[in-house]
Amino acid sequence: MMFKAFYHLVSQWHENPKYLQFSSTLKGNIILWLSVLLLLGFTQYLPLIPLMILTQLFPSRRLWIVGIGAGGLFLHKKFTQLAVSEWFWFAFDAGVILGFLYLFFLLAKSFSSLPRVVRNYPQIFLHIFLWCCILLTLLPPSDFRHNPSWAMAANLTICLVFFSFLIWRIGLMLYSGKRGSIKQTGFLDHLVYSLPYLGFTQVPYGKGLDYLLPKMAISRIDLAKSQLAGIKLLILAWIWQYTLDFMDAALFVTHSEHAMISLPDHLRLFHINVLVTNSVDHMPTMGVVWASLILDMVYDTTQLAITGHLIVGCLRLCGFYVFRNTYKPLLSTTLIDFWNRYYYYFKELLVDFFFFPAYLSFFKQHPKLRIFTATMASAFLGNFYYHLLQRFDNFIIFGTPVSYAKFSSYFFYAFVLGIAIFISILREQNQRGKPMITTSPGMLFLIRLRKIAGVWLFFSILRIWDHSNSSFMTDTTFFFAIFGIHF
Amino acid sequence: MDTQIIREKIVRFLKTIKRPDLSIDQIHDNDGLVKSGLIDSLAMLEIIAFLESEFKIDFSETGIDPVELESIQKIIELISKRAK
Repeated sequence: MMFKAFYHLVSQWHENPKYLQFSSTLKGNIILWLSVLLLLGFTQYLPLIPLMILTQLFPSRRLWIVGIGAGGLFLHKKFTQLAVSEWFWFAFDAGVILGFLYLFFLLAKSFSSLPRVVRNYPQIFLHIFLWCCILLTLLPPSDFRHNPSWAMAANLTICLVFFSFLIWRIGLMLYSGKRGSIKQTGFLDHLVYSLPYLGFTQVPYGKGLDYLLPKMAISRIDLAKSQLAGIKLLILAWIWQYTLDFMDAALFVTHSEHAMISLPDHLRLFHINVLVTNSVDHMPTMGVVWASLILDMVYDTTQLAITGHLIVGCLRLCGFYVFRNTYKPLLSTTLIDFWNRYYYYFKELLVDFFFFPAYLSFFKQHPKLRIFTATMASAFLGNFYYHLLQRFDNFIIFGTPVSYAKFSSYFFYAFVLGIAIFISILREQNQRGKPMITTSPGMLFLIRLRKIAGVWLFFSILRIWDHSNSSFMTDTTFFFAIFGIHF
Repeated sequence: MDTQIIREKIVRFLKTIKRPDLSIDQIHDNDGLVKSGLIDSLAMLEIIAFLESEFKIDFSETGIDPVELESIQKIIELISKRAK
């Protein structure tokens, strides 16, 4: 009991009324922002600090400050990545992108007057439109990006990269239109999520405005709660980063020279991409293979937690008290629970754009078939489609074709994930409403441990088909090899 | 339909899907159902199926906004607004 109370006191320090009160005083506030400076100082999110302070000073303009400020940073970051250096083209591209967003905002705002077929399937129409734009890039000559007389077309393809990157966010805007909630909002309110400085992928951390608005701090004490919760995540991110550095140095093959305590060379572990690729020529001992699979899954989960904590931490410091992206997934006792806690905003994307639409459209009279269809539509097809679209940046900019080997592996990964999640949902449903098992606390602990081990094992093995060097045949051969079956 | 009857129907249904270690009496009408731990996020699906069959609500027109299903009070409001 004492341990529980102590743990609660330490882990929930950010809700302590004394700290909340103190952080609202001048002295407390100075300490708060100095801490943020220290925690974000070596990250790419440092330029957000002035915006965070401005949102505290002008809370009624929070959406605009973050939307315009972070939006400008986002455009600058992306244009630098895409090598748009001339001011004219910078302004041209930014104008086209903002114009595009405004067009979709107007469409969402007048959603009820759109043709019925578009109102029923707005997301499908949006994606068809994107694909038509992608197909248009095949029309000019293949070297048009390097030909000065095709400069306009080259810059339009840059805008297309943005369109593809922002597609899910535009989808959220259309959902606001469908629900009618967009009517009370202005275009600038929507920039907060549609021009995202936070995050590297298409996943909308913090979702759309419908989700962000109820999470926005109203009172000073709400803001203090949100800010301290944000600082807590930034601290956790640093702790996990040092843990990963230690793991890398002490356990894995990379960076071994920095380790003070480390495994002997023959016991060193491999990250999954190295493990699978190297196994073609030389298979390590089974102990090393299994330890590598499991610890690399822990490593990868921690890595994702760090990224999510930094992003959600920044959102909270801006006054949006949103859920964490990763919340103790390694303690999950079921596959569906793990999926829910591992990458919350990606799961939400799949649920919003694939699960619910499929759930509402098919097999209403057949509950199990209905859930199966919705689960496969999201965890399998939606998941696969998302990753395919993500790779199209490379295709649009460099003309690099999407690799069949990589995607056949991910196709299999997503298929198995979909089936496993469906089974997990059914098992959860069967358990629901049943009385809890009454047994000794020790036995309950062991049962829980067994379930957690099952989840770890499943995801450790499944990751064989999802890593940076994935190739279906190599991955599958490796899978059989770890059970002693060699081809 | 009378709000009290709607509420009773919802509570009766929630008792069949709630987590066994929590009592529904501990939950106020405005408390978040998932946040309070009474149900898990998967149980949302069963709430949707229940609202479709019991109150003939058609979600396909407007889609699902989980916020509308987050508490007993919100569900009552949704039913009052959209039940056929």
